[in-house]
Amino acid sequence: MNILYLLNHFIFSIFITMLLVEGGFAMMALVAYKKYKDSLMRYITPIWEVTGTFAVFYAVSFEATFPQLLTAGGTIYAIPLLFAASLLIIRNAFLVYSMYIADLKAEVKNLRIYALATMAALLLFLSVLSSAMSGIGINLAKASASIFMYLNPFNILVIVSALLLSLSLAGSIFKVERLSRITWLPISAAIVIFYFGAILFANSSASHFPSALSIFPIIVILVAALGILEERRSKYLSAFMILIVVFLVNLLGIIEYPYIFGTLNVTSYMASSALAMPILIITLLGGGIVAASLTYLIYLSYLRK
Amino acid sequence: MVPIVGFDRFLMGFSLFIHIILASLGIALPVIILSAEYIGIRKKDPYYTALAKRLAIAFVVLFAIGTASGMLVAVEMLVLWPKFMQLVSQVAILPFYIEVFAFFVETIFIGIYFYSWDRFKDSYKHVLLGLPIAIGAVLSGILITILNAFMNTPGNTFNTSTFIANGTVTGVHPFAVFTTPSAFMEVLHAVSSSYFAGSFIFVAFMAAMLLRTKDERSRTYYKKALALGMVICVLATLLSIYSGINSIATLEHVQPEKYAAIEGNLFYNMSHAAERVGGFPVNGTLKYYINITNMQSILASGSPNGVVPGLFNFSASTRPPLIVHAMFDFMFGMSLLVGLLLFAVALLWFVKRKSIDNRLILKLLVVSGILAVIIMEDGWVMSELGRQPWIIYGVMTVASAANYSSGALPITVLILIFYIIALPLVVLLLRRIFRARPLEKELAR
Repeated sequence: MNILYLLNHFIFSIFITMLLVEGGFAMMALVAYKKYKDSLMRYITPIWEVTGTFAVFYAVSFEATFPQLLTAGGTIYAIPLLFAASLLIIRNAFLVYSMYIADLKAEVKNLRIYALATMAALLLFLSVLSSAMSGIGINLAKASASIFMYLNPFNILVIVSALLLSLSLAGSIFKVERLSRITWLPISAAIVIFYFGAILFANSSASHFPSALSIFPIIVILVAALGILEERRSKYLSAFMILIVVFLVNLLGIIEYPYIFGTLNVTSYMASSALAMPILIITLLGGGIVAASLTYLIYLSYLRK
Repeated sequence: MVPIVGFDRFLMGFSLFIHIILASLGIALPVIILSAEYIGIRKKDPYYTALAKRLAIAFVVLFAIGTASGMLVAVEMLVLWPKFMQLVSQVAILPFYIEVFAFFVETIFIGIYFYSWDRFKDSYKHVLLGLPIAIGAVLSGILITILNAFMNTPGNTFNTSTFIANGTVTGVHPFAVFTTPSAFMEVLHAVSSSYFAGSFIFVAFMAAMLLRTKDERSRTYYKKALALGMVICVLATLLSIYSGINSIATLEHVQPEKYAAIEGNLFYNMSHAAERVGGFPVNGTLKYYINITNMQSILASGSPNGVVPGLFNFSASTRPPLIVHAMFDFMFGMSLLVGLLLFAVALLWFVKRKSIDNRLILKLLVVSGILAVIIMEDGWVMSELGRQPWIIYGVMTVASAANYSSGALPITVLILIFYIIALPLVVLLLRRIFRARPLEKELAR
């Protein structure tokens, strides 16, 4: 498997995981902000912009890894990408505003707008992801997308499973009482629904999806380990939960490889050998700096008393 | 087909027009914040500490809108100019790629710096934690400008003649993008202009607040803020002038068409060229200008015999619009005005310490802040128009890089509306936030 592809997909999996955590945050902000305010704000305050940066990182990494897919990608996904980017402006503006406004009523109102914008952006990103995987609703010859890109059974199941993952993450990270001891349940449901959808609805154009079954035992072990950690009320539950989601999203890339849009082989659209090595070295060096900085941020914000 | 390209071009230009203001503030403000915090700790001056803390809040809001706007601009580049981005990704992606890490460092340290105030016994440590923000911000600016320099002078980043002949990308030198002929000068000018505009906006705001404030403690606060901003303004202005002059000299050699259009050289390459000051393009010629005999040749080479590039040496189809001449002269004139004002204020300040209180000077500083933004925008638009019709000089035209699909038009109109409300939105958010935290209360603590 191409190392640049792996790196690109690893960045993607971190971005999607952070977005799913924010999805959980947004859901809680919509339904029970006052109750969980402290744990919600403790999470989001120092890290909100890192999610956005990962979005940029993934976009640039995609450009660097698959330069020859840009013309098609830019044309096909023009509307959802521009719309999602606009929603991110609303997300940022209303989140920051709610952080500095003293009035709780206004804070809740602004956070609701933030939450709706975040959820809408999440749905758009997921639709782009699912259509890039399955090719449903995409006309490659005309470089266009139809409404079926959003309204198809596979996309709906992807969205449902993503929302379940968000719920699981919210349960463990924001200590939501009813969820924090059964996070294994929504995560299991998410996995089953996703792979069920992939095999049933995306199978016609993507013959590689059945290989998902071969990694099923690993997933079962991970979910079982999650259940044990929950039972013991381990303080590492949230970290483990995040790692599982990163791992699961990463698996998608491995299963999917080397196809995009269901049938298009990506290896023939990748960066030239002249650029591959510099990109790899810069990713490792830059990634090291980012990892060290993030570790310090997490230590200072969540661990240091 | 053409109206779509025209709309794409307008949307991109308009988005960048707004984004550049946010980016300039994003580059200048960390330096002002860190300086204020440092002085506050060193002199145990609560006014500077309050300034740093209040500016930090403003910075976070601006950063939130600025980064989202940057994200939107990045998506626009991909969606509106997919063929351009495809070529950039194949030959000049490294600055973009490294910029992401600079952006990451800035973002992460914003999380560390702004949310860990008062958590260190040694306050200087907190100032140090802010340094990566200032470095990350300016590095992002530098790297994006390097990409713009590639658009102006692609140099030997790849085999351009093969690409022009058959569209094939060969002979890629990934690191050559950092050393293109205009890279150094463009970076120096872009960075200094960002500090120039960013610090001037700050100074203008503080001057405006000083004009309308009567409370003595608040006035002291604004005066100290103004003094700090003025120091950065003076340094940035000097650097901008130096880099601006050198940019024109570089242009003459690396982008002679742009140079000829800026100078309004409606002739073939010639010696003893006159400097045309002022004037407007009318039906393809320049009118109402002042001619200073031999001056252009003397400025360009030190001698009247020096040969300067003329527009007639280039094909009419690739000549930039002549309006860039008027835009350059406007920028030069306004810069001179602002520079003189700054010099006058500095002189008065040294001679008579209280001059910063003078209402006329304060009003002029407010006007200068507005002018500084206009100068920066004018300079940028002039530079981009001066490259037309090319998106990558001599390699790819704007028309051939564009996305001709009309499917995205409705959403692009929405984005346009977004950008129209973006700046007022920032002002509104900041107003509301600071109304909830009155300065008088903060200083009284």
